[in-house]
Amino acid sequence: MTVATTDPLLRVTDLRIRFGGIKALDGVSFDVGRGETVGVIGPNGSGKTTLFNCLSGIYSADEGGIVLDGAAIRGMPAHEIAARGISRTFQNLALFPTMTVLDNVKVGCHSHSSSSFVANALRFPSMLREEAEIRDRAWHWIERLGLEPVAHQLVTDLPMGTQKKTELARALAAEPRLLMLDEPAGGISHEEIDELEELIRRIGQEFGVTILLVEHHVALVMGVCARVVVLNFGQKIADDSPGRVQSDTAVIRAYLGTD
Amino acid sequence: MTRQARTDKSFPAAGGQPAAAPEELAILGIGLPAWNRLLLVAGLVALVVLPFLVEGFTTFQMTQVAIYAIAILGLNLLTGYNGQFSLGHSAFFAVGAYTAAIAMNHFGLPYLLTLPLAAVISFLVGFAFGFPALRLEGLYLALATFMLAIAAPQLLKFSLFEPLTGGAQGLVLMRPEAPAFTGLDDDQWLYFISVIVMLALFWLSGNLIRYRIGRAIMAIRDNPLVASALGINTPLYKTVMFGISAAYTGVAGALSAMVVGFVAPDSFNFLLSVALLVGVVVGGIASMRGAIFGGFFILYIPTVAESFADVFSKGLSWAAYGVLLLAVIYVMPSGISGLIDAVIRRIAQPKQAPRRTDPAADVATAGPGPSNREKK
Ligand SMILES: Nc1ncnc2c1ncn2[C@@H]1O[C@H](COP(=O)(O)OP(=O)(O)OP(=O)(O)O)[C@@H](O)[C@H]1O
Ligand SMILES: [Mg+2]
Repeated sequence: MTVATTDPLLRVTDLRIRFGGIKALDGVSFDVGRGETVGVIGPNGSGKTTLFNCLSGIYSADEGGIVLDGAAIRGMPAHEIAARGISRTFQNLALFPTMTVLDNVKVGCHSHSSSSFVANALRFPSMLREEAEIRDRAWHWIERLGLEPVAHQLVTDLPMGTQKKTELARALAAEPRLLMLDEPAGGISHEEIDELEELIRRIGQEFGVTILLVEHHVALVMGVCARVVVLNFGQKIADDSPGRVQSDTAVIRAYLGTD
Repeated sequence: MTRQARTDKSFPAAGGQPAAAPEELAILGIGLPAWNRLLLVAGLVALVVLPFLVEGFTTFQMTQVAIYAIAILGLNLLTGYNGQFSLGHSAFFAVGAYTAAIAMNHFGLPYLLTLPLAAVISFLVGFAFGFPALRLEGLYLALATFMLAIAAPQLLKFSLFEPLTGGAQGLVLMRPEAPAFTGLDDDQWLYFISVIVMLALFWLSGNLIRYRIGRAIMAIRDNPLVASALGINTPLYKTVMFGISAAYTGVAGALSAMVVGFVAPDSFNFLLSVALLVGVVVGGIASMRGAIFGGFFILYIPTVAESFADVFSKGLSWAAYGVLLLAVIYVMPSGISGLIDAVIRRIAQPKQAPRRTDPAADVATAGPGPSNREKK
């Protein structure tokens, strides 16, 4: 979609954050249009994960603007941002280790449910109805990702690829407007990467979810993204179609480390 | 459309676990869920008949076990399920006990009404303490709650509060008497009150940890940053859990005041906090039924330790207690509850005759059963 410039879902302007002497983000600006799948690439330590952390409210950016669907969300607590429709996966697996696959995915439904402490403790019928909805929604994504056989197993007992899928299912169960994937292909097999590519494409197309994808696996990024933002030392050095980014001299220099 | 397809699979629309849950394990041909119900009924029957079979003093001790179980469950909700550490629960126990004592002595409140009052006041105190606790984690939280435990007896003795608290002397209460129509003696009456309150509080917390709120509080324990990125209001949940935990322990304190008929500052010292924590660990962290085992442990083991120590020297009872505790933790690293789970997993078999699959593998994969959420 090319409405990005007029009415973007996400607009990031001049975002800055520093840790001690390190400018992890040094004035990053870009838009993400509704329904777009945008790649974010860059060498190690260039600020990709930091960008995600700022967008999801885990870090509080020092300066700049983050606007989601017209609302300024910079400085909001993470749970409010999640409630506004941003959900994500993590570069290093971040599942709840004492829970089963099913319960992990159910936690993804938290923002879309509202039963209170009192309703839970006293088993109000409204709470039980909501629980049934949560279970339906969680099962929907568990089946989508083929996790039924392991749904009742503890996540820590499962192989890396399965854990990654669980995290993806959990993020999708939140039915986000903006889905942020931080290196979803890290540590999984080739067949699983193909599956993932297909899945990301379908999430974008079928459900109209807008996606930000951080990934070192170039073929995956080129396969699913119409646009790629390139970071280097906390700055944006390119923002273009995958093909043109690949031949961009600044990008090549950043990756070869010759500047 | 996909949703429609899913309902065709055998997942019931409401209530209970989905049919796909690995519940097909059995012992002696009886399925585990059936065993659970059976044991529950047997336990309830035992609770009802017990005070008619044993002498008064044992009934009194069982009452104390129930009261400790409530307090331990309260601490377990905070520490085991929500991952917040507390060495200060003796203070909440004291808040509940003194609330009951003062309400009865100075305001003539009927003793049963002091229980909800103790719950509310302890909740508020715990909730208020939960705010500074938000900024503290691990060792720092342990230290802050430790100070709470140290300060509580001193505050209760403080001369300014003496007209209310009775200072170092404490307060003597009218022990509740059994209504004539029940035909019970006072010990039995207090036993039934305590047990009913305990069962009600167990039911409430069982519900609390089973659904949406329970997943959220355990998610916070497992990974607070990720929990908040998934939309969980971490600070709110943590402070409310502090309040709920304190309320449980406060109700236990109020019951204890009635049953003992006396409150004094030094019965709510730091050692009580330690005892409750021992109860959590020995019973099983994040295990509800573990709280009952923990209650038995902290009531009886000091006596056992004393008789052990008597062999060498009367002064060594705490050393003997320590040795016993270490031995229990060594033999049962996940508490009594964990040991029971392990035994069940060992002796349980798949219900139907094992198909072509290896039965050992079957048991291994079915390990995380429905009660899994309760462990660790
Ligand atoms: N919490 C933090 N405290 C201190 N420095 C940090 C913190 N988070 C990130 N940084 C620093 O910010 C810079 C950017 O890190 P970031 O994790 O965003 O890189 P990345 O692009 O995701 O790298 P990779 O491809 O290796 O995942 C690094 O120099 C990192 O050390
Ligand atoms: Mg990263």
